[in-house]
Amino acid sequence: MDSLMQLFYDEANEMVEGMEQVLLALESGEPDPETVNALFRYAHSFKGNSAAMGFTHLSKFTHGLESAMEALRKEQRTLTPELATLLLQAVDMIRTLLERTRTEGDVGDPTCEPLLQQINAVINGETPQPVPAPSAPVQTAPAEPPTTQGTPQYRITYQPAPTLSAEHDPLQLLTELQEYGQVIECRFREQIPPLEQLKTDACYGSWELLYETAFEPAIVRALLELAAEGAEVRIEPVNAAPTTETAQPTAAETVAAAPQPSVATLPPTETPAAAAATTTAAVNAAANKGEAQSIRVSTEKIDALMNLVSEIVIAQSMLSSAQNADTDERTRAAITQMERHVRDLHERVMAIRLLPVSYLFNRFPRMVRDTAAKLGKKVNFEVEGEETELDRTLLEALSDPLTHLIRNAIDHGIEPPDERRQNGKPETGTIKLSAYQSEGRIYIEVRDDGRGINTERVREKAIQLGWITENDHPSEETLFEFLFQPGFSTAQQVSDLSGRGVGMDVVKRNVESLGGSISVQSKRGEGTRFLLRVPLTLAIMDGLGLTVADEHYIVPLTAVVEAFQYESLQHTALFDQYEMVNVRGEFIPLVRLRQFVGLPETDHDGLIVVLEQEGEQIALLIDGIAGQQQVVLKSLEENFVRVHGFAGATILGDGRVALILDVSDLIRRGRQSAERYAAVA
Amino acid sequence: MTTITQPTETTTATEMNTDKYLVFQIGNETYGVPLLQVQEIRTYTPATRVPNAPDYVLGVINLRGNIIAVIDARTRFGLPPLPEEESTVVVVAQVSDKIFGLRLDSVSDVMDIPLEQVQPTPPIASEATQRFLSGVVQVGERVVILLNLREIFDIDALSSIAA
Repeated sequence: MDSLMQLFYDEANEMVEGMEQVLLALESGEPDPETVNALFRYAHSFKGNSAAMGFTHLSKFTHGLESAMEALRKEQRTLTPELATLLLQAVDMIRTLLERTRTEGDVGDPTCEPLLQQINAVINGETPQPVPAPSAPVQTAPAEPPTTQGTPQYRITYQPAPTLSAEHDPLQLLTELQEYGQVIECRFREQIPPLEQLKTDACYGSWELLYETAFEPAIVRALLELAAEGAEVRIEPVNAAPTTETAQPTAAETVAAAPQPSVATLPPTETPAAAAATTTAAVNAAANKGEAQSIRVSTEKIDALMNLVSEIVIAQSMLSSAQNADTDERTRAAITQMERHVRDLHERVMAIRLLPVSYLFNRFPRMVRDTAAKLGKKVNFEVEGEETELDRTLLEALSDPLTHLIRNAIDHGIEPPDERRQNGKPETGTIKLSAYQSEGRIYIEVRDDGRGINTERVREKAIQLGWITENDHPSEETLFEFLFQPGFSTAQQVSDLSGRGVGMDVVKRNVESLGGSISVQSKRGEGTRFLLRVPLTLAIMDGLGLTVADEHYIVPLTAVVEAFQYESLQHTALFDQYEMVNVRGEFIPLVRLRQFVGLPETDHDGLIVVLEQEGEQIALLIDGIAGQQQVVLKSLEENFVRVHGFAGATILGDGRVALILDVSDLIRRGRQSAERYAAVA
Repeated sequence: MTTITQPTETTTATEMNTDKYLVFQIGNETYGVPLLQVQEIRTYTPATRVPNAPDYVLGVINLRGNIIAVIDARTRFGLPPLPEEESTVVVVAQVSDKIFGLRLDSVSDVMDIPLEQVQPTPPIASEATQRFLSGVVQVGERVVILLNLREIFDIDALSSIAA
């Protein structure tokens, strides 16, 4: 597929998602005029883009949708659930058409037209004033394209300024008009004087247009005046006097003092590609406010850039260390300055690949809505930590597992409203999707307040499958583990939504292939919580640099609770390997970093850093703190092996590698001390 | 940073089926590795020690954003390591899908090795290092011992430090 086509699809997908989000937002809250406008803009740019690509069916459908939304926008109507569902269906239709276009070419769908009619009917049916608005049935003129129903039309007479200049290009004006609406008819009149009076830079022509636009007349006027300064422009609404409409072409002819008016119709499909681009028009600029300015770049290019920057960092550090007493002042200053810039560059390039998880999470509200509606359940979907940043490839890979988990939560977790009521729960169930970063990993949690996992049924099923015998009573944890085994499904019946072959085992496999893990907690009647732990391969995290001897290690800053002088502590030693320290009356297992990394002990003053993970604490004895810095986690495994005790490595600003401590591993080691302590105490 | 020199004139055997090898000295012996496996040659920059790793693993370094391990050839061959010098290099090589660095005192040449003349390795080395060798060949005056990089890196043996 060529790159223009790719760009179109990329943008189209983005817009479809955007429309969906706006619709969902509208449905749940107050109808903010700005969001309705956004919806309208999406439909509008969609029309423009698809027309530019020559996809007539898509552009026709979106044009109809645009008109419908324009009505919605004008009337300041609240979005009823009925209308929202219809509009969401329209969004799905766009998806379908997109897919068709991709696979079969420019083909339509027979249900397009009925859907549009339905939408229009709902919108018009609720119009409070029963005034015979410019609605479809009145207009029977065959010249009218079927999609123009309901959109106001204007007759525009445009006489350019007598002296033409580069700024006053009539053609440009026509092009621009085409972007804001549709030029249905275009008549050109010429009044060319005898040759001896002809001026080469003068304009002797004028245009008469039949123009259809959803915009206010004032905007059209502003547009014309902006583009045609000094020109004579007349705008008359056509729909205001529909009776004269059929007579108009003849009327125009009688007015014509000129010889023969040449008639040209600009078909809508010929909207120039420029239509998709931002124009200078003030209206559009204002409308675009709030949209992120971005361009698309392939990840390969970014990776190449990143690698190059890493090399520059190293070269820079070599240059810096090549300085000596003889280096003159100017060189020194230049190196210092470059150091700063290179560091900035490094940081920025690293940040490019990261995307907030909202990029992924935004897909789910729609899915939850539809799934819940289909199953007759009431679900309140909450999202937390959307700003957590994650590498793009990782985000993509998490899409399927999360979709599955959320569907499961609705299908199997959340009870039907009446069952919930009987159990003294609010009718509306809650599913919460949250993301956070901790100990150098990304955690994504799917939590529901549904009925929880029926461990008894899990056990029965396991017996049925021959995994355990009647006499076995495995722990809850073991039973939950069964859920992730291939071939296991507790769903009583295979539903349309989940439990269709792809099971939890696939979810587990997917997550594990990312180097992550998944665990589940559940309580009968109270809910289930799935926790995904994924490495942040490329995610940036805040790290704290720790030193022992001349070595440098990193711990995730999020795990650090506090730090203080080791000497200030009362410290209890048990055997020689298992130690606890007394921090304000609480005993915390001690791990000596020197020992942990295989360095000889020292009797120097040390520091204690208290680290915490999931409620467990550990005191780490170190020599010193090197400061806080942003680090990018790199895999040790990719070209080497996963090293025990370390979550990975990072590249420091000077190009050197520092290992990142695995806090959970330190805690595990500490727990051993604690258990030993408990055994003797 | 790449300092591969042109093939020398000792390679007169044009009729024969030859492969290019990167040739270097360790101690008194001349060794060669297939040039195809060599990605680049870098000046040595200090590696970050990996706790609990075997002594021949010097540590890890940053190769354009990737973390790779550096193995010291002398230590791997049971020889005392030499201090770092101007000529100390890291040969970056790929075996299977992993990239690693091999620290050498210096590299000297790229040679065309006539494959037909490669002999099985005589038991010149201790049994421990025997597996690092894939053959021996006489090129002109020189005897070149061919190395098996996969065995030298031996990622499976590193499982002792793996989590």
